[in-house]
Amino acid sequence: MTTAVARNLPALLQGLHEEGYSGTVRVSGSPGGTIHLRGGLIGAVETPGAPTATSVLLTPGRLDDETWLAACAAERDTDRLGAYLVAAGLMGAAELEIVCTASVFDAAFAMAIGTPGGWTLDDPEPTLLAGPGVEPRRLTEETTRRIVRLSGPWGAPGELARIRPGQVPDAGLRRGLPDRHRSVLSTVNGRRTARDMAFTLGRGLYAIMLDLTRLEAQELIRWETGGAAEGRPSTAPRVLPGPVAQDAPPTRTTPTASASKAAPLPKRTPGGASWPGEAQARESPPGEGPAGGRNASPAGSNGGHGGL
Amino acid sequence: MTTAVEASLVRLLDSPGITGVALVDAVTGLTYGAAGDADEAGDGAECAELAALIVERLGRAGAEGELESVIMTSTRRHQVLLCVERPGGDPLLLAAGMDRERANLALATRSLGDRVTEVLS
Repeated sequence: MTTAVARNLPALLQGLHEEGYSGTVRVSGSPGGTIHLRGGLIGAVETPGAPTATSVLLTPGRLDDETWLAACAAERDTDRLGAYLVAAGLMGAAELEIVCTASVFDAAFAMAIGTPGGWTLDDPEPTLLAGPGVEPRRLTEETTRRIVRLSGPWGAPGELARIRPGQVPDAGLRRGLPDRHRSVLSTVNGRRTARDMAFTLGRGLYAIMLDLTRLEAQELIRWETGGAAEGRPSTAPRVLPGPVAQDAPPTRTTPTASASKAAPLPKRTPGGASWPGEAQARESPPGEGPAGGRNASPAGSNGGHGGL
Repeated sequence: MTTAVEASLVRLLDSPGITGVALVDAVTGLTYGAAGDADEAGDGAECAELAALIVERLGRAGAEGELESVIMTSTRRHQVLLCVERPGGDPLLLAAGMDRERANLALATRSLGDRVTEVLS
């Protein structure tokens, strides 16, 4: 098995597992991330799309900042920081393993629902490790299960991740709600995505998304109108002010057509000068193709494409 | 390779009649480890979905407080789900399968409840 012939990231990780590889796989794309392998097993995954094990420990206050900094100062090798936390009596070995393992699966899920990119291999980097590590096949199977579980009327989990749920009046007053759901409700404000809530609460992205679907099913939150259907507002093509062509062709009725109804797209006149900046406004960002970034810029010599 | 979670769970098999135990994330359904007959403990994702459904239905019925346990009994087996609160983290489920002929349900459940905090140590 050589990494150059791996068709996708799961195949690459499986190949590296069979080789007993220790090192780092850097994955591009959105959100992308870093996968740490030790002896072929996945010891940690870090991505901007989900809180790390460190965030999960510090944000809810399982460990306070001073204790954490003191531990980092006492054990400068991050690979051995977990063993130090256990030896110092700050956490149980099983509890630490649970936090780190959960973080591996959550980060893999966050990467899988994003836009796939390429990868490069690198030397090992010190990080907080999840016990002996996770077998790639198990990680792939669990990630697939999670994606299936969170596919629903809103579409794929990637669409759900872009929704900014809104509050329902008096939802917090509903009796019989577990504390966990109440804490999620306290972060719902119509502006936060599931990822924002995950970082705010120091919980996993998948757990938050699952709780949101359950809260929505109980009519305790509502999906903001058009939140998922309009795609990503921050990167949507800019609609420039100007005259509207009277003979514009009818728009197809698709879930993404709501924006077109609100402001019909201008029509290019043959031979005429288009509005300044129009061409630039309609171009995809560098490295992203129209099919969800599948034409992303290739990675280095060892690179390839594919999501988990 | 035995993990720290599995090493903790093995100790719970000492109780008479307990044939398999697993530690499951109560929200995501991820199984962190199992000991004994893992099939007897049950599938982690299904255990979590079942517990979530029960919490929801109890809530709609006006029940207050957090779920503590779910006990299911068939002619030959008991299956017990014990909720394990975790400081600063999502709750866990300790899933245990018991042989009905050998296990005293009340004693075994109490024993599991008493020792469940040891699992995280």
